[in-house]
Amino acid sequence: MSVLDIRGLHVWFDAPDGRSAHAVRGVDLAVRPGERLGILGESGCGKTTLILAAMGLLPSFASVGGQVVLDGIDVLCDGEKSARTVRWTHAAMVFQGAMNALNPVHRVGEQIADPMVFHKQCSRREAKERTREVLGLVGLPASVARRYPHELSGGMRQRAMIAMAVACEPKVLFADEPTTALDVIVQAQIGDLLYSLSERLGLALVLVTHDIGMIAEHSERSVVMYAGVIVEDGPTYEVLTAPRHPYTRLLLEATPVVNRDRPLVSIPGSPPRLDQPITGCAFAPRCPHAFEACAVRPPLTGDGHVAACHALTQGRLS
Amino acid sequence: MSKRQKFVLRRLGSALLIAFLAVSFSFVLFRALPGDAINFSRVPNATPEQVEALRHQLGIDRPLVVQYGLFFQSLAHGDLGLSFRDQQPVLGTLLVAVRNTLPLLILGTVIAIVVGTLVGVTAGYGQGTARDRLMTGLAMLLYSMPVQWLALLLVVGLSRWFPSSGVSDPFLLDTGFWAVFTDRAHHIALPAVCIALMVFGPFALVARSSQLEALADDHVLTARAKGYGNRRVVWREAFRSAILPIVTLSTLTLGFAIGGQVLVESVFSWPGVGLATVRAVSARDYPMLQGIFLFITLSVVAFNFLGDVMHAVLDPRVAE
Repeated sequence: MSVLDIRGLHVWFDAPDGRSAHAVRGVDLAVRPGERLGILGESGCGKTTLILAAMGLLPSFASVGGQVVLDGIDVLCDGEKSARTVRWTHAAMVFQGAMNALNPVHRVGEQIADPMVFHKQCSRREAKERTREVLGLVGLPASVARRYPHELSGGMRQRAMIAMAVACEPKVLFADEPTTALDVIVQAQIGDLLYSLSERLGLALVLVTHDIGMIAEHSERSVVMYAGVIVEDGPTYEVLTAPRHPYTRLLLEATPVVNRDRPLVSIPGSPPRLDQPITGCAFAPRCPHAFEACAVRPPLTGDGHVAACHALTQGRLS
Repeated sequence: MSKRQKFVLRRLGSALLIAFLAVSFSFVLFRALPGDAINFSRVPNATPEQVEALRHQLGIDRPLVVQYGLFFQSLAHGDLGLSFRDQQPVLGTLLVAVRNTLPLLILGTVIAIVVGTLVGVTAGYGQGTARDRLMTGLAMLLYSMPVQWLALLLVVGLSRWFPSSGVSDPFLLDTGFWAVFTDRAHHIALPAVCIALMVFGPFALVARSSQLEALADDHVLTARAKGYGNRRVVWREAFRSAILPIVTLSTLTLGFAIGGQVLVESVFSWPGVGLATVRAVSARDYPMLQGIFLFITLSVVAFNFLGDVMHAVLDPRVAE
């Protein structure tokens, strides 16, 4: 039984001029309870759109197709009202740049306590008690509850955001680039914090990032996305050490590594335009291994560690 | 002492300083104007001795510094001098005018601020919908309409049902509460509606754009992720940060509006501060004018101070 089950998800962003961008083009993804999953990919590949869709949080100009079942509740079909009851209680989210993700005019404590009271999980007094508890959980003193966001440092704000996210005891925590805009030391601390919270609370963690190091350290399973589809999905160790999809290979080679003397490659070309139909493999135009079969969209194949590549299945990759 | 209290005290200090400077400036201004209370146009055929006696009587033969001191001394006693026009104390006339302007201020300006803000926020929430376009168009139209013209339109169009001048019917015989109340309500209808229409536009537009900006803030997404309903997201999360520009605009508008609406009060012969200003100007009634300017200055300063305080209360970042 998975805690999050996404099936055949499509997302289009409709522009006022009638065109639309097909940002997520058919994604199947199941997350088991307590699983730590990293979603990897360059900017604009649909990572953030995917998790926003999973919580039913896409803006009104987005059209969504497919199915998202969060902890037994269909987020897309059962209507906004039932989707609302799932949010924060079953799945919570940590955003990038906690500076702006916190409301500047309410005290941090209120922002942590309010959802608990709103979702009728407990009384205001109990919520206060619980606020102190979760602040301790993320390593912040209880006095932070009385502070306003602008009085905290970037790292403290992100901790407060995480405290907020775990307060209602969700089963899934989405983290959308939780460490961008933080300095390296704090990045490591926040990563460790998310990992240990997921372990202690049995929380499934979906980590969206383009920081491969973060994925390597804090997730057991990795998903690589390109142009709105999943191109590779498998155990993190395998995906990072023995990548199957040509895109994953190039992506890893394009990542600078300390202490290793190898040339830094860049992937030629740029991701496809999403406002025009894509037939076949989206990566084919940039792929060194592309051949005739790539004109048809490849399925994800493999056992446990899957990848979507014709060259791979036909044994053309060395 | 908290940061907020310190901030408010600092602002109070600067408000008092500004008020003092403004009052001093009005003293200088009225003495720098050509002519004084005693000139030949005002006292024709006066002998130099008589002029000298009058100057002495009014205290304007003393050195400026002494006059300046005396000016503040009489201010402290609430003495704004005597009107040139009717030899009545300026303060009394001014208070009557203020008392007439206040109901207009409340029924026109305050209500328009509230309604305009509500309309703007709702329009901002449904950006691009037919309702939004209708409201924005209406606000634009009213905003760009010259107020004296709007007032005349109201007189032409509605004066069959509502009286178009004065505060009450001088020939009203029935002195019962309801009769008086209905009479007053009838008289205030047109000028109040006129002011309300004039004030509505800018508030609807500012509230709309500021709400749009707030709705795009990241913390609004957080609020939606928390599962909050639309009403809570729109009002408690977005509007709470969108309200600051509206507060600024409100206090500015109110500060000036208490000084009367010169055009509206003229059209409707409403004996408020605005009409008093017009009369004082045409009669070259300097003491009266000086009193009115003093009153407007102080109310602008006071409302600005109030705006600062409200900012500090509403936004914890302001006091930093």
